[in-house]
Amino acid sequence: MKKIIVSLLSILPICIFAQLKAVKDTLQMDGDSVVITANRSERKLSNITVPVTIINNKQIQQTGALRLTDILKEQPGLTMTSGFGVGVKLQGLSPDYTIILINGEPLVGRTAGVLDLNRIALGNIKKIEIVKGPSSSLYGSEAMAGVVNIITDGSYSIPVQASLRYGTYKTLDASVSTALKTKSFFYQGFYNNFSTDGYSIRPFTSSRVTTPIKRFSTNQQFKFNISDNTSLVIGARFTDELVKNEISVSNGGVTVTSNGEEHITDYNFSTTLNHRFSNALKTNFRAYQTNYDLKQSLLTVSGQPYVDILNHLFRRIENQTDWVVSKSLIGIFGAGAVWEGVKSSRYDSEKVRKNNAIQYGFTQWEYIPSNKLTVIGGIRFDRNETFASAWSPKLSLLYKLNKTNKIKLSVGQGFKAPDFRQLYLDFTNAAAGSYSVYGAAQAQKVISNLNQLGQIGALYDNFYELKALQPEFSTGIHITWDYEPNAKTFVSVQAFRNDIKNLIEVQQVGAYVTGAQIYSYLNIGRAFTTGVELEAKYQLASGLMVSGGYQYLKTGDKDEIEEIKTGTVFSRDANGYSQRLSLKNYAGLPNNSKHKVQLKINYYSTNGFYANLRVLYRSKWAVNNTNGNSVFDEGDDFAKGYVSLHASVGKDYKNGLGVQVGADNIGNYIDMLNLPNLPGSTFFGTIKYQILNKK
Amino acid sequence: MRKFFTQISLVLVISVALFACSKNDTAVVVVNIDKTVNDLRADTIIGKDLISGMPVSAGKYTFYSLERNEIVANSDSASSKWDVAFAGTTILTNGGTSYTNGIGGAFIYKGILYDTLTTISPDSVFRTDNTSASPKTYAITTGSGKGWYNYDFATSLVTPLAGRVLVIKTASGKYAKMEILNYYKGGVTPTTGTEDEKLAKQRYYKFRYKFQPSGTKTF
Repeated sequence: MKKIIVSLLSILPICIFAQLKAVKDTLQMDGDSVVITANRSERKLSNITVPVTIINNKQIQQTGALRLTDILKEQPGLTMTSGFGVGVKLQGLSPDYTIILINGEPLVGRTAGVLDLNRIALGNIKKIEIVKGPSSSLYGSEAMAGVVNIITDGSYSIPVQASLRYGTYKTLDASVSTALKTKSFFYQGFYNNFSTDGYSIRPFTSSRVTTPIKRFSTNQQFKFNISDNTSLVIGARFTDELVKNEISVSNGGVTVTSNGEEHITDYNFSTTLNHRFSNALKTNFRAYQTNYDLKQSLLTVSGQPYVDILNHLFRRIENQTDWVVSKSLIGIFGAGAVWEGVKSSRYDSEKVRKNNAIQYGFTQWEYIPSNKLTVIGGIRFDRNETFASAWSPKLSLLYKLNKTNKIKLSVGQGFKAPDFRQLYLDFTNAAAGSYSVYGAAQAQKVISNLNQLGQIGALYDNFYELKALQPEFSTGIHITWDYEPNAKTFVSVQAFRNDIKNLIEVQQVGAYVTGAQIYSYLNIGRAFTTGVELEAKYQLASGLMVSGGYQYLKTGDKDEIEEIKTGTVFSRDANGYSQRLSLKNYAGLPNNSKHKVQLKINYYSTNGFYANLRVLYRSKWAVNNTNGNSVFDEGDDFAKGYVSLHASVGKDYKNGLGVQVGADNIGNYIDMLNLPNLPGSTFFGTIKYQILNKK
Repeated sequence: MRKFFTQISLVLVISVALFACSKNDTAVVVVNIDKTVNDLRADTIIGKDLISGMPVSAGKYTFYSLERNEIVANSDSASSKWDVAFAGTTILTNGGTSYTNGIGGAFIYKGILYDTLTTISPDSVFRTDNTSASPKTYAITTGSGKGWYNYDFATSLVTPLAGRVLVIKTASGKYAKMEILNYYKGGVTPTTGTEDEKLAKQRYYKFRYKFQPSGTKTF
């Protein structure tokens, strides 16, 4: 591996010096670029009061990223998770706590809380904005750890663009996008077809870690300028995915292999009417519908069929009005209603849709007393029909000490509503001891009925504590210091802490007469995540930029910590003898690495040539509890820390032609148990062509 | 002469030593047994059912005498020669309604270290097995998290819970304390193995115990 790094590093400068016509580009700190997610209204990045990361189209293209997963894994403070697709963890919080938006509208279709980010193709995207910290004051449920907002290209400026990419494991990605622009009508379309054979990193077996996939997706966007002050935007997105499955399920030593396929379709449809009454007052009405549909059909080797379905329908209407009261005071008001329903074969009846309705209102005020200080306060109220309501306040401020130093401070509350699974699951695992899990909304009723039939052997104390689930709440504090001493250097240091209460956890509430366990969901957990993030960029030479990111993360379950302090938690020493666990050896929440590092070198020249090298490091993380207690500690099973290397080189010609070659995971790092989504080294080549608008 | 004296003194020393030894032997009958038992097979997996795919074992307990620190033949199962018996995760004691040959029993002391448990409190209640009840109940509770072990669905591994000591009353009514250290062959939990490897290695007990032959409740 060292050899590869060395050889790569030696190639890079050669490439760079070969391109003498380097750009006279300043360090693009994007200070003038615009952020929409932080305030739900366009603001200059330099005036944003909360931590924001922007990934622009150029970055996406130059790294050769295809899916949302590819680009997010290279961002500081973000960690990808595997299992039920690929999810993203922000600042140590599970994927359920980050809302994923496309043009401000939420995506649905989570399995076990994870929204598979491989579903989202990156073509036709203008930028991705990531806001860290609770943002429920603007976005409601799920925006507890933060927001990832994907903003599609709305320039309507490239009439035709096509790209074709081929890589390892017969991975083929073909995209076409078209655009049309007249005085009052605008159209932009994007079509993508992706297929892969999947790969096997397990030696001597035919079973594939990533199974063959065929995925088609399209985005369509229409804009009508009805008058100078009124426009209508209609957007549609559709994805169809077919995954070949070969699944081995092991329960109590019985391994059952099944073959079949998983068919996923999802669509989003949005209509937005924008109207500007005056320079001080504008409003928009949005109607949105999205539907996610999954059907998994499997046949076991012995011919037993297995069908699992999940359907999630989400509808929303919303109005938002922006009012510029004066130069120093801007207000936003919004209100909306959501109807959503889920059908699943894991509920009592797969034919009956479980419904929920939410009504909400929010307001946010931005006060700018001087050009040094911006203060933003906001609050949102969500009223839910099936669980308790939630208030989400937030206060943030930006203080520009001088031209080189900026301080940001934000305090906010976020929440995550109980999901349908936690409310309605009705699942008995016949293969593994016939244990059952009942959602909290009906557990008491179902179990009481079973009790009357004489099927219940024991009811635990917490059975009587079962009640309507409350949302999970978090309080987040973020302090950021931005330092920009000159046009070539940018440093940002951020400290954060998130305290979560009311965590919904599965607990045994009773047992059948047979002794098999009965589980349900209760609001019991308390946890925290805290840490420091560092980002730095430095322009070494014209067109040559080095950047780095580092995250230190500490997490913990507060109840576990209390138990450890009272001396009631034990672990095992080298002899296997029990010992009292000390806080020093406590590892916190699983699947979190203490240290994460990203280092990137980017080069680009005015003639369209570019090259980059990205190095990602993640330190060890706890995966399994194996030493005789229910907490994660140093004696448990950890996945090893690892380094992965990625590089790409390309050139965009003036005539619209572009070529690119790249390699991912160059060091060929493989951990088949803990990183099933990381294949060995992969290589790709891309060719694209665009007809540019001649002005 | 000098030689003679040396010989005499040697004889004296030896006889004194011998005398002292025999005197000591009569004072303490047996020494306290403090042992670690490795790889005690507990109805290990011998294959798979061809039709259901379920792992198959012989379905036989391994009987063990804590007093004599040895395995007891299965032909002696209906006797008071054994104190504990192992099959899979189930541990029997020699007493209760089903095994009337002994007067044994047990309870699990939670939240204590093996070395710190030096006396059994006089008000301790020893539970007994009841294998005629439905479901069967055992002095050493079965089930993940309830007795001596935890079973993890994700890894399908059985791990002895730390900080739990089994307090055992033997078939003859004496006392022992026991800590189960591992459930896998060689005393190593196979965290990275395949399902079949894990199965082949399980049901090998590693435990340490201390037996008090005097019949008192102190260790």
